[in-house]
Amino acid sequence: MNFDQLKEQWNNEESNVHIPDTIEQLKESKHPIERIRKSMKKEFPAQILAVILIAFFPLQFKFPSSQYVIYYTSYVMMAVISCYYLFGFYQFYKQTGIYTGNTKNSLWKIYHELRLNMERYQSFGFLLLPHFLITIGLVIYNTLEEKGKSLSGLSEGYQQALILAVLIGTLGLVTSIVLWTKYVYGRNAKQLEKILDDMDE
Amino acid sequence: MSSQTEATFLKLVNQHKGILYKASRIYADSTEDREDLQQEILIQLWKSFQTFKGDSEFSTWMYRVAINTAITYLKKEKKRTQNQTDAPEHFEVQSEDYNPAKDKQLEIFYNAVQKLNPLEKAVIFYFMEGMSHKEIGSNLGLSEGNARVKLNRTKEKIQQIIKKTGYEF
Repeated sequence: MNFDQLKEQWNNEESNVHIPDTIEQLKESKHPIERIRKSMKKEFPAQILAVILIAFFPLQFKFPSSQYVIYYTSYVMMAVISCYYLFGFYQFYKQTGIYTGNTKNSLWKIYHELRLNMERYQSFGFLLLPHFLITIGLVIYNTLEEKGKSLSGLSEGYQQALILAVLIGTLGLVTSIVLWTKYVYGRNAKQLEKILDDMDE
Repeated sequence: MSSQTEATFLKLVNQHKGILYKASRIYADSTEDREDLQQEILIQLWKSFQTFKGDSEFSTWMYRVAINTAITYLKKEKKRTQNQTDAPEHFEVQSEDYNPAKDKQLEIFYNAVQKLNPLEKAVIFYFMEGMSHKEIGSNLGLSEGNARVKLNRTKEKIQQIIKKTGYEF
């Protein structure tokens, strides 16, 4: 096989590419990394709105004012940490120039950003758990109070069932968050990892 | 970015559109996929243009963005690999956009290249563009020696693929 001959044919080949007259004529990107960024852009306002709406839960569930301090201490912690995570997502979204370096550096950068975002999504999801457990706890407590009962008055069987339900719910949520991030980022991260391994061989 | 920047960008891309065409020929095997990839590369070039300081040649910068975009265009890559598994071993030289006037050898080469992994495609692309081992290594982030080894292996692999399909030149 004569590569020099091939090169000559390669160089003489006509470049049949349509370059648009304006940038506006370019269609929307279908690139997987761009798709992730786009879905992040869509999720961003929803996440902010959710954090704001969670502040109104005590009104929605008619918590007695004596419980506000418990609820809002937990809420403020959740809101502050949420801002940190949302800022991280925003930085990933705004990042430019990831394709301009040499291939190894660019791929490492993209790979690490994907992995970091996976971790961010997971810990952001886990972070919501304690607050929701506190909220559910308060709702259950208030419902029992309304019926003239208390948590200490629950039978041992009910208490064990409650603990089991919390455990199953927590495990279910953690598993779904992990599976979801793997579904969104996992395949791309794995393929990039494979290419990076090939580079080191 | 201003309309003057846009005009400058489009002019530069037009001058180097061969990079766009050849990168898409190496990384995509159907006309539709090639057009999609060219589009993606153009989008990424435009998005990254604000970071282009002119420290290197525009073509050097364009090569990197084009190849990095093509390598990370993973969805299409997977689809293609799936199609490959089902495809017969023997090449169909007269592909959908086959022009009899075009050289058959180059067409066979393009078909063989579709069986390479994304990194091997980048190596052979830079080689066909006339780059030295040092330049290939620099663009890919590999040492000159590693680039040489990878290029030799890729060339051998292409030869083996072509041989297996019954062609030899």
